[in-house]
Amino acid sequence: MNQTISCIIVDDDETSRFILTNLVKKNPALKLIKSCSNALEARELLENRDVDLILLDIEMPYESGMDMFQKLTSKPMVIFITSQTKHAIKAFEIDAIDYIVKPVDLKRLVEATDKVERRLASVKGRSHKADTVDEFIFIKKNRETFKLLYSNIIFIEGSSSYITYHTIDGKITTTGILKQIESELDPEVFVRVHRSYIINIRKVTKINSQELKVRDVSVPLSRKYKKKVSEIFLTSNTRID
Amino acid sequence: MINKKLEKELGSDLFAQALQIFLNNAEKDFVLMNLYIEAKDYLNAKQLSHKLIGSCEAVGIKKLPKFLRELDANLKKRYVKRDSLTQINSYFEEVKSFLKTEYLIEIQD
Repeated sequence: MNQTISCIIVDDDETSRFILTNLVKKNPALKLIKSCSNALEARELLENRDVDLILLDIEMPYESGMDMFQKLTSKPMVIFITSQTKHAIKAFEIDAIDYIVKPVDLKRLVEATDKVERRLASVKGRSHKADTVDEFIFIKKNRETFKLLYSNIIFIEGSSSYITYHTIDGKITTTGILKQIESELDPEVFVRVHRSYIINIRKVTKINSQELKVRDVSVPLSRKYKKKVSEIFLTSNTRID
Repeated sequence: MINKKLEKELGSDLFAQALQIFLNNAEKDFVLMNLYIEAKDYLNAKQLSHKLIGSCEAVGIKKLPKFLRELDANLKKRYVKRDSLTQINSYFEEVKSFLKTEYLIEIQD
């Protein structure tokens, strides 16, 4: 077990809350922050503190669990716990970790918690990587050195012995060759898409078989890199800045 | 009448507390649901039938959730079979009697 998962329970039924509260207490992977009897109470709590997980009933008076969850601006993970199977598809469409039909038992809760742990580990793995990689490069122009954040670079263009960094603040042209720069950049952020272009994949807004839209700029996608680029976009959960 | 799995997992004391909460709330909800049905307020009656399904299933009461589901489906269509309602009320009385005999649990004020 990696760490404790903070959670809240939201259910209008007192009996269900009592049972679930005690099952959660028996599961060492979970730490119960609060048990709420309605969506409003839960939302107020979530506005003031972060939790990892909501154990959420669906059909509640005034506001359903689904509606409440969809309105949250910052969404924790969610496991729906309900007495009906009919909402299951919708639940997974909104990325629920699991869907438990009452009665809840400890084994089922532990199985669901395992899924949460796996999701958390995967998210933490990604963010840890992002934190440890230097998210900037230094470039030299004339006699000055500039620190350029990855998040500011839209794409990089090479022509003969010059490199132009297209950034959100404008262009910076230096001497150098694209191949050398490519090897210095984080390959999970920057991808070669053409003999003359490296793009920041976080800035890509559209892609087709011939070009990519990086912010508002069209960058050609050459045949040589098409397969690699397609694989990256199909397999990654790239965030778009 | 009741699924024993939860009792084993929670332990006797906590399970008895769960049953007490269930019984007190269910008693009120049954009375209220019947009143709503009498008043043909099907929307509120349905909310309670749904809530009762959840709490019966949470403690592992058998049969009653099935009867309540049928009622719930009919209430959605703004319709109630009198015989079914009588059967549900009667079965709830059996549940109460069972809880009193087996677990010494009675409705508390």
